[in-house]
Amino acid sequence: MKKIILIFFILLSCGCFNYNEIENTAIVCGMGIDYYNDNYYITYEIINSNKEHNSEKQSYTLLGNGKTIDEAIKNLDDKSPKDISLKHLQIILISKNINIEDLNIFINNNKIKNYYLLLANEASIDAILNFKDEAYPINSVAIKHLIEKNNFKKNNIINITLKDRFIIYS
Amino acid sequence: MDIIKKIEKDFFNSSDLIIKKMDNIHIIYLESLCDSDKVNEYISKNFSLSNKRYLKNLLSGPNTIEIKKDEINFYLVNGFSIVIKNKIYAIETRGNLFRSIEKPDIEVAIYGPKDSFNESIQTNLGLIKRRLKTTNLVNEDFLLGKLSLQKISLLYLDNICDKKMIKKIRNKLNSIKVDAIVSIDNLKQLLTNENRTPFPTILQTQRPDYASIALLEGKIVIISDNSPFCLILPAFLSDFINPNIDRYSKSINTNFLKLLRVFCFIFTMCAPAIYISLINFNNELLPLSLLTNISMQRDGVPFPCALEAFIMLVVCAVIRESDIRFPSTYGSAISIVGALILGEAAANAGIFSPIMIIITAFTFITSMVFTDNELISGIRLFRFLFLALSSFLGLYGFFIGLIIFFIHILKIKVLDINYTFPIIPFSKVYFNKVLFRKSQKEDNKKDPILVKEIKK
Repeated sequence: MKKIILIFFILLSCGCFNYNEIENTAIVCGMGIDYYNDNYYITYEIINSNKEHNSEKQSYTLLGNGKTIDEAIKNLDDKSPKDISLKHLQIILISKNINIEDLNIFINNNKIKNYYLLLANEASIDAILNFKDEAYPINSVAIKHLIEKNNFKKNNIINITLKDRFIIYS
Repeated sequence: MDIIKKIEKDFFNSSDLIIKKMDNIHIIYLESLCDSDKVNEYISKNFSLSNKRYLKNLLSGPNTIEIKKDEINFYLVNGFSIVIKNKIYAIETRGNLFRSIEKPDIEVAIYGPKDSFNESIQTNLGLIKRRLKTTNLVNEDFLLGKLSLQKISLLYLDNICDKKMIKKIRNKLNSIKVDAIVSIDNLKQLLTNENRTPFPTILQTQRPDYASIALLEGKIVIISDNSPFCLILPAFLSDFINPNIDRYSKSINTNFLKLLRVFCFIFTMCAPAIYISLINFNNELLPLSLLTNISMQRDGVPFPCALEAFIMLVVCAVIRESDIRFPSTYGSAISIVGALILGEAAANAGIFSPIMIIITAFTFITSMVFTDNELISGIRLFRFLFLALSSFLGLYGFFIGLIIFFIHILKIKVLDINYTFPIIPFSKVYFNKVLFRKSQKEDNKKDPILVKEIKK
């Protein structure tokens, strides 16, 4: 009898470390990384989960900066009022001046997965993620659907335009 | 006379003990248990009309026994009347203190015969015997309980049933020492170790056709006086999930229903636990649109998810209890509708989220597919265990609970056969009768685990 109780308590000893409440988490669906003035600037696009909200404002953005990408992410963690969860990230937008080797963090991370990595060629990242249009309430999800639809029908993505506001290369 | 004074003293001079003297013959009976018409016809009339010599030839009742002094009290209490001259005779003049044969009120079925057992053991025995008209149907009698002296009959088919099973049950029945057995449900708890498992191991039914089907498969049936139920041993988990009504329809149509019932059994135990672990711990398994939908619904709800689920399940248990106590048999649909309206009002007030109410309602509805009270209670216990474990640890905790459930179910043995009988000691014949039926022609076959040998 003692053995059974011992085994039971050992199994339960890991605690609830991954407990989170849905209404207190900020679901991030789009991330943008920029580099100027010797600082990394990261933008998050977060889904708005208030009950009474206009259909235009289904998402909002947050901006944070730091000397390295890790510092910028910690800065954003401190800034946002809700817990940030990067589990549902859809796209990551990078600008031209970023060194690709700095992005090793996202390869070795076990929390962030299943995203599309995109290069913004001729527009600023702020403008992309803050772009408000009635037909596409959440930008990151719209971009992801665009890529998947084109990938499904033709096998190669080379050059896509979205209302001539920005251009994305694969 | 000495004997009569002793009887009066034993029964404390009660008012329904009637002693009649005709010449030098005494007639004694208890008025509450006997039918006075029968006493008249079998005994008194004959004495007043004729004048033969031997007492034995005058008594015309069908069940007449010559007894000794010590057995007088026993026969008086069982409804016999006693005639004393030089020898003592007991004649059966039992009165009708039971209902007529009525429709079954708990196990209602669309097809099949509509008679049910009632409180007299002779009627119950007759209902079974007229369905199995063979001399191989054996019934053994026991008298249980010091003060109740309740008559209990053990029925089995001699050429099919396993002798070791019968021996075990006979030993158990002989070793019961209780003051009184008021009803056969008490006997059910005494025959098995009642607190070892919350799941039922003996089937209780009101219909004689189910009892005869069970006898043909090699099982044992116990019937008793004063109780409209009969017990069937041994009973396995698949017998409670799929009732015997399926045998009266086509197998193609009922196979779908059998699968549906197994799905309901799994769903009703696991649904709240899986919901909580998906929302609180393992968010990444849900797609994004569902997640935003739930997040918007839970905005502004003051309780955490696990507490909400616990409160709703307790409310469901209370509703079910109040349903049973309500006078109409087996509850009515009014309380369910009332509960749903209550839930909707709570959702509009912002106390509970609507999706929790949907999941609780679906859990409740799928648990009403089963009719046995003990199975529902067993399911409820495991449902709370899964909920507790998964609200601390997520999906990991749910799987720990699942392992505990499987260990528990595989440990139970009913008369030395495992509780998960057609699946774990796999028997194709029983599986094809209960869990996935093939056709009616295969009803003749007996499976080799329940029935060891068939004598011709």
